[in-house]
Amino acid sequence: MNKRGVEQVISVYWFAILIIVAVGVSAMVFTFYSHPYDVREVEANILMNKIADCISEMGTINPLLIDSQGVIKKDLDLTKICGLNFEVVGYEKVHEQYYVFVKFSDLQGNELENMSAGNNNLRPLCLGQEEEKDEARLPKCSKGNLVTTHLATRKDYSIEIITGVLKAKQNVKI
Amino acid sequence: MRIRNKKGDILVGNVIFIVLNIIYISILITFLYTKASGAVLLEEVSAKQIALLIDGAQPGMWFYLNMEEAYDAAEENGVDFSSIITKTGNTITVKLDDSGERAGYSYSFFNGVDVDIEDIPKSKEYKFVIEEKTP
Repeated sequence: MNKRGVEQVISVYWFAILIIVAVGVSAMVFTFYSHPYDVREVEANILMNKIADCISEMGTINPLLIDSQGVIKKDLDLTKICGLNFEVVGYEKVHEQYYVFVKFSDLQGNELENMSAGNNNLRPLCLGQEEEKDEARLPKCSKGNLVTTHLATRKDYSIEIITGVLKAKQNVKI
Repeated sequence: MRIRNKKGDILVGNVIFIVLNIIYISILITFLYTKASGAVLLEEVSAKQIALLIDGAQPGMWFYLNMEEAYDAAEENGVDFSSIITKTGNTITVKLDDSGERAGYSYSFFNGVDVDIEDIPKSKEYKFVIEEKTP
């Protein structure tokens, strides 16, 4: 093969490489941008902070949650008390995409009361996530604890909050 | 004469090769830029960003959101700045492209508040005022 022949072969290979690189880059870009941004973890954290602010203000328990003897009220609607709206565009009301669980205990760890709002079916999915945290189709959950006081009775309460956000259709490529 | 022609051939070949490479790189960069700053992506990012900001806000607060990039994209696609962001119930919709009767991208917020949205075309910003929900 003469010099010109060698150059032609090299340029053919060069353009073959360019095409392979272009196809590779396009595939990567399409794969990356076809996935929606997953903001559920941030959303679950914001929801948890909102619940915490609603339950305890300046370290004092919300008077709507407790009677004058320091007993946590039963069957309260957290969405009303905390001003939440769990309706999500694109989903039916029965398939709520949020979950909130609040557990009240004394400082010795004895459970006094618990309440929840949203889709209770998300609870086992939230609790089971310690082993399978990367599964995108599961709800993203957030967990937090705080201690608050009832001023009238000077009782302290330990509160555990779990929040979960599913919204898989808008945050995960299915 | 022969030698000079041969040298000329080599030069032309190299120039074509370099030009083709430059065209290739330009196409690749344009493709990446278009993909990364596309209206569809901007719609999703903006709608989610606004919904999260509203979720984290409390009644009495207000915030300004710079929508310069969205403004430029909307202008390119013939969408009026005042109609980029709309609110229906607790859903924020961002629309930057009117073609094909697209509805834009919608994302819901869980914070039960009223939101007043005001566009400020001069600074390409939107102002969001968070108010207590009126029954």
